[in-house]
Amino acid sequence: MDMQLPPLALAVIKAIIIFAVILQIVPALVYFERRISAWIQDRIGPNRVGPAGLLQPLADVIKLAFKEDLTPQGADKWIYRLGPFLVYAPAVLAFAVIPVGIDLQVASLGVGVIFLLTVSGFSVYGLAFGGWASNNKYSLLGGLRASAQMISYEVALGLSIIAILMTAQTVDLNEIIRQQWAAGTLGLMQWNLFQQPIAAVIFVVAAFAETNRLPFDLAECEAELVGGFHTEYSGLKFATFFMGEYVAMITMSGLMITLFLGGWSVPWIEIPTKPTVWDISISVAIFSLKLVALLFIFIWTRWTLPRFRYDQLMNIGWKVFIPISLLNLGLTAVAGVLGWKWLIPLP
Amino acid sequence: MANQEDAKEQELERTTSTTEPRQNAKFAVPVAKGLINTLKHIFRNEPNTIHYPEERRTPYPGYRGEHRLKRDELGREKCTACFLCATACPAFCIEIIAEEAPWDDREKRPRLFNIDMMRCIYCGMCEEACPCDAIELTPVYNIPSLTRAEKIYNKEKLLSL
Amino acid sequence: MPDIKTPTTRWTLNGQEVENTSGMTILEAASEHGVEIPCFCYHPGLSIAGNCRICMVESNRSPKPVISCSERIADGLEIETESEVAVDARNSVMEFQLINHPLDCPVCDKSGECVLQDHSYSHGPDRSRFIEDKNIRHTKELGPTISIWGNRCIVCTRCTRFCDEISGTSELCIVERGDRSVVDVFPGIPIDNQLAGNTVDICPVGALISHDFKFEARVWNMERKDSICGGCSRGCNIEVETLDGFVKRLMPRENQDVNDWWMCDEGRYGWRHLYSDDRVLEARGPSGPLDSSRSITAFIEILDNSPRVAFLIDPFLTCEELHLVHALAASSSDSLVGGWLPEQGAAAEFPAGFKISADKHPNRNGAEQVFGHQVFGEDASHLQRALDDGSIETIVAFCGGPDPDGPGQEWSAALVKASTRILFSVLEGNWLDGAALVFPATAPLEKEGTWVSEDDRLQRTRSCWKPGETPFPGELVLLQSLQSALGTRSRSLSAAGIFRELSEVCAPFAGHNHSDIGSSGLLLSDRPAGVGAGGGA
Repeated sequence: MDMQLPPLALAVIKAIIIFAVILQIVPALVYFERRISAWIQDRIGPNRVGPAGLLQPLADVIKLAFKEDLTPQGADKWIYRLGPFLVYAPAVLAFAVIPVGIDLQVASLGVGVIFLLTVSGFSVYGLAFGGWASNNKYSLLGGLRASAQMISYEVALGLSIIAILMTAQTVDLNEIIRQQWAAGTLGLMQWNLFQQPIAAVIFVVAAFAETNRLPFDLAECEAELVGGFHTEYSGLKFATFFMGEYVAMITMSGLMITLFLGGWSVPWIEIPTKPTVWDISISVAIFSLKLVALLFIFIWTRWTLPRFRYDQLMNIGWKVFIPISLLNLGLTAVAGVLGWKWLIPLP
Repeated sequence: MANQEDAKEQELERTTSTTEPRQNAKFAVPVAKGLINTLKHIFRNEPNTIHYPEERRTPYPGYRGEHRLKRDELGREKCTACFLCATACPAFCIEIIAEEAPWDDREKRPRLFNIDMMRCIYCGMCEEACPCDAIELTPVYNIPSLTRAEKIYNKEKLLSL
Repeated sequence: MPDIKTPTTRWTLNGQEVENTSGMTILEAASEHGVEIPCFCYHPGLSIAGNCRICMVESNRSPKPVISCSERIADGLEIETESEVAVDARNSVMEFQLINHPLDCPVCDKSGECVLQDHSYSHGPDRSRFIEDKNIRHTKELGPTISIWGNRCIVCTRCTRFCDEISGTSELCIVERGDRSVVDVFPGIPIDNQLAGNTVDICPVGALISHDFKFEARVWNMERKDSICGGCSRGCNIEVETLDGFVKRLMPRENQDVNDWWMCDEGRYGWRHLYSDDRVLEARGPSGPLDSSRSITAFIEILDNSPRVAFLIDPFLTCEELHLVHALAASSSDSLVGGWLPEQGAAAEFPAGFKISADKHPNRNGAEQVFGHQVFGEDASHLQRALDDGSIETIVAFCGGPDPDGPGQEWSAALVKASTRILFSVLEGNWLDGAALVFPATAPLEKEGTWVSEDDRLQRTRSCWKPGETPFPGELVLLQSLQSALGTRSRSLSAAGIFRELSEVCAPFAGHNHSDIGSSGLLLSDRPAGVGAGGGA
């Protein structure tokens, strides 16, 4: 990119654009979630506000903005207020390192993945704080579950990523994407999804758990805990929690695309060494398409599977995923020493 | 002794734990089936719901909705204020005060006949109990109102329905 | 001394050999053994007519079934109440009774406590074979309080026997013959005796209807509570029926020692003043209504600032309330207590022994037991003299009666002479003008406690409803709060608790408590009971 803007200004502009775009994706996502759930359940879905109910998210926002913002008696006020932002901020922040187009990201950090893991790990504080500060037993239980669940699955998530990093020999996300590219239809096989299938599966499941989406939404768990950590939240504080969940979903999808699905590349289009604005636009479009597909999977799964029981969740996390991901790590290491990539050798 | 306790604990663990690895592997099949099923619904979407205020469902015969009081052939209320509906009512939502009827062929009629529609559970016991066939449940089901006072139907309202 | 054994008869009831006092009717004897034989015309308080025929049973001494209400037991008699013959006879009688009886239970006020309804349910046919037109008989007013629905009448003659035997006025008679016979009065002579209301109670169907209760409530919706009539010093036992907390009617309750099965119309209909618009429903001072704590503070302030306090009690207060007044009077030195009595009414005695007292108040005897026998006599005149001298500045007066004039002209005039008056009243009246404090008083039917009737019979009266939207504290509660505020009472008690205190200090009540008074009362002295008993056959 041969732009003449100073790097700081460029970063700010990119940050604002991407932040704004993510913020706009959330209402769209809410709309699609409502619509897809209606389809799955043989309903009609939003159809009252605007054409085909398209303004429904706007109505939701207006409703949430004008709702009374309650702080329960006996709540720890500051921590109570901090909670939602500690969920929302890390999710947005983590997105900063995800390349949405050819070398296009808010912050091109050398530590890429590590930064992402670190920052997204913060969101557990938001849930735990929110649950604890509400002075409500349901909230507290929700917060506790959230922290236990996220810590457990962060291990599996990390281990599956490490397997990728070991084969990639780098933590630069753009580099990882480039490594996944190979020409022709068979080049698809170069994607880590096929190179590291076990890691991919574990990553997807752990991503669901990390974002507190069904079937892993034990932190919320309406059936048992009223609303879990956000029982006491209303109005815009609740909206912030809500948006945090959706942004985390987008971030996790972005990471999934980057690590396993070839990022902004497709095997049929060669990666230009000197990308023009046109090339970047195409790569952004490719990324967006993959994002939409993954978000659909998130929603689709949510409206299909029931919630896990808490003991099942912990069992799967500790007794299944962590051992398997460790095994996978070992196998990857052996393969690396032997000099061939896992499963499909390089063409 | 300790061994026995251990054995017990293990037994308990074995019987209560439902997530052994083998079962985990098994439940991938139903999960996949479920996902395919929902996917089918997404692409072959035939809503079972209707656009409610615009489209209205026709209730089946025998549907129990809003009450009404019937009139006889002379246009007088059929009700004789016998309180049997109020007695049969499990929700205690019928309030009656009787008075002497001004007609020769009838002794008693309700001066006040209130049904608290918010309390009513629409069970139809009043209709069942009525010896004069004076009260009946109509198929009218869309009966919202803006105030509580509107939901207490008096005799005039019930007769006009 | 050898026991004089009452002669007994051994007979067989439903195949079991049983023993009863000789001379009993089969129906009475069987009921002693728990075998209920249905009946319409039989009433324990009336002579035996034997005209309804529903009580027929099979006997070994007769080829045909006999009526058990008039047939008496005898040695060797074998009676079957549930044999085919008996049941068939009963069912046939029931079918006959229902031939002309209209199916207007839904609008009949008797429905729910109707004997015909009950027996029809247990013995009657489920459909009528009668295809002809039913007889139409008259529906008219028999008197100022009673109407007849002739169609419903089953001609059991309970009401006519009552008028002949109990009230002795004989207004009612059966006119016409056969299926046209019906109860009526002689032309120009309406039924207007003091016991007329009882005919409605004893009517086994809804033929006789009281105007007072007509269409007021369905009987199964009402709650019942045993109490005592406060209308006169007889202390008739009554049952108060309330609907949603409002009194709907009073019914006599059987007590062979006092009122048999009856009560007078004066007591029966004499509760309407409870719902008068003129009720005093909240405490008030000269400047307006006071809540209960402020009214007590004001009361105490007046007591503290008065050198001499007098109390004017009324004979409507219960013994418990009187005890509290007594304790209050005793706690201040140099206090005077007197009592006022309402005007005398007309006394009446009826052929069967039922009496109405001239004393229109329920508890003169109780007050005399608590305060001594002079409280309405010498003490009262003493109090009146003291009031006349002006030596009394503060007086506390009670009026629980239905008279808006309170204690009457004479006493009202005397009370005005005391500068500070604390008055308890049921109804608003002129005598309350200028009072320092006015408290709402509870009327009979609102009081919880005991009364002593003119026969020295201690009986429990119960609170059957609470007046006012926010019920005020009655005298029992208020006087206790007053004592607590004065420091002479550590905890507030129920009426039973206060009675226990009373029984400890007052000799006539010694050794008694609320629970052993029972439903028929307790004689305080050995004086033989003034007779109410002995009515009927």
